[in-house]
Amino acid sequence: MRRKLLYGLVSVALLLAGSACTNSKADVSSGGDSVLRIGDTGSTISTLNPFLASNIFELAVFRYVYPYLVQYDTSGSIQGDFAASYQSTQGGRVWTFHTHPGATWSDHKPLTAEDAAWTFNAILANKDGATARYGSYLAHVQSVTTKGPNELVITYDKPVATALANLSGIPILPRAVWGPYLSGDASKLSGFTNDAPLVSGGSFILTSEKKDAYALFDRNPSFYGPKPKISGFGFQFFGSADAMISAIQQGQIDVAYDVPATAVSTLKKDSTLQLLTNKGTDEDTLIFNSSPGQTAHPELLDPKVREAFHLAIDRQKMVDVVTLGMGTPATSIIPLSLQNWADPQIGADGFNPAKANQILDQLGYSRGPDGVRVANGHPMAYDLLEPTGLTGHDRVVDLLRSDLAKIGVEINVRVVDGDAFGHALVTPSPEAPSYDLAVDDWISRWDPDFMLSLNTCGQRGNYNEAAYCNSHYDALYNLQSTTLDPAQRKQAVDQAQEALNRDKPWMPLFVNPNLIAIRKDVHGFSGSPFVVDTTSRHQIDDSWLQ
Amino acid sequence: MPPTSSLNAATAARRWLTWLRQNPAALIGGALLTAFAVLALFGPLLTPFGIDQRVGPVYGAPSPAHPLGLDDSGVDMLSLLIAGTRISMLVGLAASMVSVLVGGFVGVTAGYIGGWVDTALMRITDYFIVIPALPLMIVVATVWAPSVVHMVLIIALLLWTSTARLIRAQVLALKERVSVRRARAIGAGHARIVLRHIVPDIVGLLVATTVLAVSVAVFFEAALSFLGLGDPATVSWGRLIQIAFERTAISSGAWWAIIPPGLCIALVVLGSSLLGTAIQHAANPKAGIAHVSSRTFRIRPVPEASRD
Amino acid sequence: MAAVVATTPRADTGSALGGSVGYLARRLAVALVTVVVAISANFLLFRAVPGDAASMVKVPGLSAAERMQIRADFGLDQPLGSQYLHYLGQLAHGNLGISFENRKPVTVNLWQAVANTMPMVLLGTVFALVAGMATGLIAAWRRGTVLDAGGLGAALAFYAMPAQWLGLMLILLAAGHLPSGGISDVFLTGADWWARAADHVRHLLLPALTFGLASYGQYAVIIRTSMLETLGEDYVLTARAKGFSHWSVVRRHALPNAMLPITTLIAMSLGLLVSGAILIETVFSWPGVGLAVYDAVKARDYPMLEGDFLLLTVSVILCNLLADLVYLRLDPRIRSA
Repeated sequence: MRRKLLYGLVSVALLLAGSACTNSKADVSSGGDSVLRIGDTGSTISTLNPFLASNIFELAVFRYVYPYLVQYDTSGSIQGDFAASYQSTQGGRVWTFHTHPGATWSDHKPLTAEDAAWTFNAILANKDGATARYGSYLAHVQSVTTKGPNELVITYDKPVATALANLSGIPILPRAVWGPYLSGDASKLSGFTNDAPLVSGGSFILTSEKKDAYALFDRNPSFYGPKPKISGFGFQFFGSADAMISAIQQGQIDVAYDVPATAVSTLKKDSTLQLLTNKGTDEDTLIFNSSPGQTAHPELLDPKVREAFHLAIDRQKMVDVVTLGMGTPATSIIPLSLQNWADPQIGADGFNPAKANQILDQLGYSRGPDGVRVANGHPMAYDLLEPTGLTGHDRVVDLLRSDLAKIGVEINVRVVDGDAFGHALVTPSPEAPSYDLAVDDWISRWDPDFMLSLNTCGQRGNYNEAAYCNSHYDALYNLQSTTLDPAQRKQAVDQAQEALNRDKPWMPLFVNPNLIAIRKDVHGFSGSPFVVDTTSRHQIDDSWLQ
Repeated sequence: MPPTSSLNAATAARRWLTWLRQNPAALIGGALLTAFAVLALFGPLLTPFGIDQRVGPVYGAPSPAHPLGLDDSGVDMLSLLIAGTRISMLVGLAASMVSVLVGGFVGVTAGYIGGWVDTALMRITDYFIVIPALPLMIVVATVWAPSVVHMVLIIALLLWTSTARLIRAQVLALKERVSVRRARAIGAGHARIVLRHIVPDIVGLLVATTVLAVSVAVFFEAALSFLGLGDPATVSWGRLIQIAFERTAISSGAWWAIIPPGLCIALVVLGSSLLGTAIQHAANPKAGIAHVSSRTFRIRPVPEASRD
Repeated sequence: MAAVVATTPRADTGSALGGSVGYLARRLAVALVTVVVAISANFLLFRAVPGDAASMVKVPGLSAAERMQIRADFGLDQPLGSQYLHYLGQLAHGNLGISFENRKPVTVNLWQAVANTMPMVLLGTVFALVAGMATGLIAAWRRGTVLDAGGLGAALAFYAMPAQWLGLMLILLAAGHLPSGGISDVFLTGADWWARAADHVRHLLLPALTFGLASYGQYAVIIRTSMLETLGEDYVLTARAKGFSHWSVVRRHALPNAMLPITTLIAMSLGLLVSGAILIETVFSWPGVGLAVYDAVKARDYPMLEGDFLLLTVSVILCNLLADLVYLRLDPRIRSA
């Protein structure tokens, strides 16, 4: 199963009118007992504590049970949520949010702007400690205050292009429940399991949850926004894709997330089912250790060698074999599904093994008797770290190996599980690890900021798997994150992508499609490039059964 | 003097044939193992298609050109199955040989030396016997990068205990034999006693245990590969089942991607347990039948009731 | 005959002071030593693997200081010796620690997993026993016939099949008539008790059947062997000579005697069965002990792993001890040795 760790959450600071209205498509009276049953494979919910959560289904739970100031609409633009309207003043330094008056939590306590201010201030109080998970979303925040119960004011120390995108990712928590855990140094926070049923302020109430099995929700009658049309929904987690597919075919579930490509032809034959095939945001990449710790094979640091690798890889074949043609080849770190930001020109020089061989020949790396080239006195034979738990990665690695063999480069695969993988990437030190190559996949957010942040110096030892550090690139990254004008920001984003393409710490391979099967009696269910849409409530709030 | 060296080859072969004829189980087992061994050795020469070669649609159905159909990436299943034979048989044989070597060494040492060495070795053996084998293998395999060599070592790590116990019991009995006592009395060295008077008498048991252990090792290889802990760069029967399971062969109705590798495993396991049990009978009719318990993954002596 | 006991030569069992007491005492001592070895070895085993609760993948976006904090929370910054002493101290109070993964007590997680595994393993064992007994009895009764060869052959063939593959075969055969995964239909919340019970049974059938098919071979072989041996013994021949019918001889004499090895085999297998079920649990997404181990390894959840292994090793040791007791009770030869 694709690893469901949340590498991506949300974003984009596109402006938009802040109406919290969802586009009610039809006036469907919600059936009294309509429960939307959703299946997924290889995923689970292991904690309901947002400060520990890292799994996309955990984030999906928070999206439905907690209020958020703003959320994304189905097209990737930000709209109001608990904040019915908002505006920025002083050149983007001060943001004012007008929250829904008269809202309540599911335990009937009032839900006001004060709750939001309390949550944000609690996060800020320990932003380098226990609440770091959300601390980065409040970067550059100077103060969070309220004016009366329905007005929240957030002041930044400088304009931040991603302010709204970041705020769309922070759940507002009920103080009555979280008070004891978020007070002081929040040292008890990590021990809090926050078990179901939760006090809810969102559109649904989590009624029960069992690890590796399910999470069930009822509609929240006291929700401040438009009421969902269904009376409840649930996630069921299957251990195998086959079990999930037989469940949707037998009508035991209504929606199957994350359908493997191999099952598509079977599902298409089933007249009771419909298949949503969205371009995804889950991108597979080949990662080069780009740090000074890479001393064993200095040639791998040479952009020319990386260019040869780039030309040798048949991305279309990967798409054909791994995703059965449903994915898309990728040459930039920003996936094409982020239409506003992706630049199809980047790395578009395509598949050309002859030219790749030529480059290596010119560098003087001639082939040894076994066909493997010799560089700097060593054969061009490299270890490739492959984390387990990613379906299809074995195939990706097979193809990489055979493609690179054709240019005289030998790849020795070392499969390690996720934990050992993370460990290997920071050994002996996060700034100078010693591995050669790795493969991994990353799920982008709506805003390009996240993907671009991954290769900044500050992320070494954390998300920066290549341990790449380049001050010129960091400057480009900072430029795009503080440029408010969309056209100018797009330019900065393009330059940053271009810089990464030159140095190639990560070599994008292809983007996995997001395939969702739904029964035809489900209506209003929107597709999304994310496995499960954690950026808004629309997918489920807007659905109905008929 | 080792009993076999006094016989000439022709006599030995004739004895074997007679024995085989009298033991249909051994005959069947031997035939199965031989067939798969031949396939493992020469199979790659017979492989009709490359195992990276896409020759048709995903999960293409069996056809005259591809009698076992195609897999999840359109590769000929028959070719994959033949390629898998080599790795599965290799892991099975290597793991059982390593385990029997280790187990034999521990058993002889414990049985012959006795005293605290025996006690210490047997307590260690006890631990490996009670520890849940498959979970422990999973732990080791998870933290150890998957490769064929590691797979062999991991399986051998948990397979040697039953050999150690069997051999130790045998050695304890042999130690009291007149010939051994006499050798000791005339001042023969320990090494000489062990090599000349003990080892020759346990060779039969060692061979039987090795053959029996093959079935358990093949089982474990399939189990670990099924859990995704096999070497992704190689094709084995266990991995074929795993890939079919993960890539929705069942809901695609592609029975041809699942059934053949499982049948091959079953045949090898069956073959080696039939042959191994028969050899053990022949080598040591008094020792009590050992029977393979592949589900609990242990060779153990049959209950005392079958002894007198 | 338990593995721990099995090949100890009978000679050292008989002491001057009545065999049974000495025998039992020795078994208990060995079991205790093995438990201590197991606890320590399990503890060390999981400290020797790279990665821990604060590792990169598990809690993304943490600074070095925060990782240190998490390590301190779980005592991972302490020297190994004091971690071990702490572990023993907690163990003495029946406290297995808190899971790294979901921060719940290990005992709670373990209990849930055991509660899921047990019905499947028990029902599977019942299937196996019934099928094994029937096959073994018929094979012994009709020794040398086609029935014998066929029945035993089938039992051995099933026994030779990998459990995970057998499970997949059953799913293929059931093709949509029975659920192929999970422990229940989680969306049946509104249904009445009967409907939910029926749903549970439907989910239970395939995994239990797989379990039964995969393991009945060993029972069949044992029943057949010991039946044949008992049927050949003097007193059985005498009974036959006295004019007792064939079936009543089997029922009154042969079967009870065959129960001895069967009982010990069951007791011995029980502990191992639970962990052996891991493959079946994987095929059927059955959230039992086996899957708990596998998930815990992947998450480097030491406390869970230590708990799992403690449970599994101790239950194997206890079952072996139980097998010895049963043996002592059933077989007069040991008591009088």
